[in-house]
Amino acid sequence: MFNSLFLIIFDIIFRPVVMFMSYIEVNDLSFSYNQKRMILKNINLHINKGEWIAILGHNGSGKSTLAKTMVGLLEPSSGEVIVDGLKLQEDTAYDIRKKIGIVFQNPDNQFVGVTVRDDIAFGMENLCFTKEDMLHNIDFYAKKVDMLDFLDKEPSSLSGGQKQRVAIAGILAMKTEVIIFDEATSMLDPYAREDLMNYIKLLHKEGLTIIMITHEIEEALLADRLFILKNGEVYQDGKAASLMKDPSIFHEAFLELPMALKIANQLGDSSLSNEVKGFLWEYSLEK
Amino acid sequence: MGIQFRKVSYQYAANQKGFYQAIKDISFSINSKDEFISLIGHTGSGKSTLAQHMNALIFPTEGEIDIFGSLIKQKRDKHIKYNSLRKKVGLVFQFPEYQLFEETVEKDIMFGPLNFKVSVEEAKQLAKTALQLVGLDESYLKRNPFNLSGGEKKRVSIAGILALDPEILVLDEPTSGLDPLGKIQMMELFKSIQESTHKTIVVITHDMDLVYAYSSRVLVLKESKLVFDGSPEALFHNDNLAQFHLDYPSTIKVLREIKRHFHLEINEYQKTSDEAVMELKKVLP
Repeated sequence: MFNSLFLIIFDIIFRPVVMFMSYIEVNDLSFSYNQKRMILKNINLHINKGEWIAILGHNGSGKSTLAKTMVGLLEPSSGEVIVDGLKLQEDTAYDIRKKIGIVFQNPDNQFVGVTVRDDIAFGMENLCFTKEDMLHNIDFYAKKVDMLDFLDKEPSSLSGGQKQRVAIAGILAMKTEVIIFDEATSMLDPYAREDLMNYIKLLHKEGLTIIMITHEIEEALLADRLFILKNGEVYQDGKAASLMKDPSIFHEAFLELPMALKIANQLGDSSLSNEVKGFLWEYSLEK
Repeated sequence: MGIQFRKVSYQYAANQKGFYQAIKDISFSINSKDEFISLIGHTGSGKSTLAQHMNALIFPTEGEIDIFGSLIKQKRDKHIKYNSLRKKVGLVFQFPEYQLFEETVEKDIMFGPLNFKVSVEEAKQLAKTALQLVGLDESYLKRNPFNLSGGEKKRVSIAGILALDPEILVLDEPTSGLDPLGKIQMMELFKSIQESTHKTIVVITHDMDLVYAYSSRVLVLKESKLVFDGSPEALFHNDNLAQFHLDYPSTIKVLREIKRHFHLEINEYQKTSDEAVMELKKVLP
């Protein structure tokens, strides 16, 4: 009796907490390889399910390190990462990696299979999927990223863009909730990049949480939210559209503005110039 | 003198079932001096394969390549000193920073020259000079390459090739993975190396802004074939670029949009944002 009452009270108090808890919480996280230089300093970042967030920063700002601490590839010097209510540590890392997949910048670093088919299956094998599920998922997700015709090819014979798509298929097949793209488009040509961005848009629409690590403002603008790092610290965290109104933010974070905004910032103050500026702003945000 | 491709094709043996045609019937030549060539094309178009032929790292399955007088055909020829060709044409792979392995920057840069039987003292001197060429000061010599930033590592690995004093420098996507500012710094570096040494530089890239602003000549590959060989102006100053699966440089794209929307009399062919702004200010009060 006392027990169940306790459970009910417990439930009343904590259910709202659980409901409003972010899917991923990074609390007061710091990281350094040695004590000399801090790569990340007191990072706080809460990400909700279904969000599309871009983590933006110059080379060496710590953005990739942050991504690696979020999946337990690096252990923070202090602070914590909580995913879906689980605190990330040695004994939970396995479960947390079922929830978050990561696509790296260089897909060569993440291939294990002899064929594309093997490679897509690898993650599922580790999670003990049934054979039927695996076979179904391989075809389904290979088709989704337009690699169905390449299933019997060796990953090493693929181009960078194709490799990256295979990596995504492998993660999708594990049914993760979140995918981190760690500069995953930086090796691709403009068309392949646009292609990949379109796949990402689609995945987001289907409810996947997207975390995009990038230094390309144009790419970051597709996200709902921008999280900007500068020298290892949180510099800005807000809606993409509202941050874009102040281009000096990007300048101060050592980021290059998209061409349209670079031009807009240097135009004069006449009414026609202002009209052109307004047009260039819209042009940037549309993309 | 330089490199001449004559009807070169290359097939990868993809698996037992068939072959993958990486480049097809390609002919062109590269001067050994004063060229700044961008090699571009969609992913999988054969750019890296083509680059690897430039210093006989792989042999063509059809056709022949003349590299500084040595004729590269399908089979290894015992009269050709392949090593010396690789000294004449320095090839920097994609993500060369992953290939650093020595405990100091100096040792890493010296590795190449020492392999070519240069004395230790001489190799040290070459390392110093090469490091200077890539814009890093001497304090880097004793540093551990693994503690450098991505951009610095790239510079060190490029210095390793420059220490061989190649006549032609071929770089496979040297700017990938760098942020926009880092990309510009890297291209400025190649420009200054070219201006001071007159070496021909071949750069594989996907960044049309860099192609437009820096190169004197552009080679475009599409589906394994060479479909364009000419100046960046000849490539970008026309309306049918989509046939090559390529995009326009962003200055041209943005100025075209402004031109169309505001009906302004401007020349959209500007290479940098500063030039674009100057052009706009001619018509904007």
